[in-house]
Amino acid sequence: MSTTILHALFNSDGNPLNETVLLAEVRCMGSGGGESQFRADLARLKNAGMISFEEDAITGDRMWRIEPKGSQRITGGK
Amino acid sequence: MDSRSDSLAAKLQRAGLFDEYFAWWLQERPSIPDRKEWLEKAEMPHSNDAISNLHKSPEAAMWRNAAAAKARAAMEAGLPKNIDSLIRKSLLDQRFNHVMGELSHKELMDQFILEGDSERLKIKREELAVKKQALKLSREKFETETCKKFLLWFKDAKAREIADSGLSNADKIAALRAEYFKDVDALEASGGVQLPD
Repeated sequence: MSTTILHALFNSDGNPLNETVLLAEVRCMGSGGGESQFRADLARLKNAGMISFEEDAITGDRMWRIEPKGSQRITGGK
Repeated sequence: MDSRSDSLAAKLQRAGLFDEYFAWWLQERPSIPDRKEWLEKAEMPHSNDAISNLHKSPEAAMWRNAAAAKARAAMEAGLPKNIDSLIRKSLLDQRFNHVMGELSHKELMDQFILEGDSERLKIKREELAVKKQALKLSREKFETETCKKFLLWFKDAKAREIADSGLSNADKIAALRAEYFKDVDALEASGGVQLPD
């Protein structure tokens, strides 16, 4: 599921995704696993410095984006 | 990351039909047979699995992102210039996520329905396989019983004598019946058993 999360955020081309949309997108891309795994993978990727979030100023939603380290994982550094 | 060059996604892109297909899908939400028909008309016949993979493909994800980015750009063009930057960013992010969420929700609903159909089809196939197996077992049992009866008959000198006689077929059958069911006939004659009419 971690790789699919990275792909989904990489595809959004710098537009941050809120958690609900990110989870739906990950599932659309055919990744199995429940919400608990999704949240655990988000935490793991964040701790590894591959993704980050900020809270939306109006809604307070967590908005996730990919960090350069995460992008490198997808592109293989190219 | 792109799909393989022989994937349906890659073929649709090469033919310049990718956006047209997904725009049609979004508007019509067609069934799998309708999608197959659409693809056949475009001279790209594909299996159900290939169509399912198309909708899970990186290209489909990119299409959703492009649609959301377009909606975001349209909103950005209409926003007042003097709006607070944090509010502007929030509104634009919401717009992007709203469209992405709507598209991925529709895609997920579709996948859910199609997988349900596929599961029902699998159950029907399994039921048919069980019925077929039961028929095969029944036929084998019948054949075994027939062979056993033949062996019994072959050992029976009286039966062979009837079979080799110059009687007509109908008389041979009547004589064999009388030979094999003489105990039943005797019981019936004694009143010990009532045979159905």
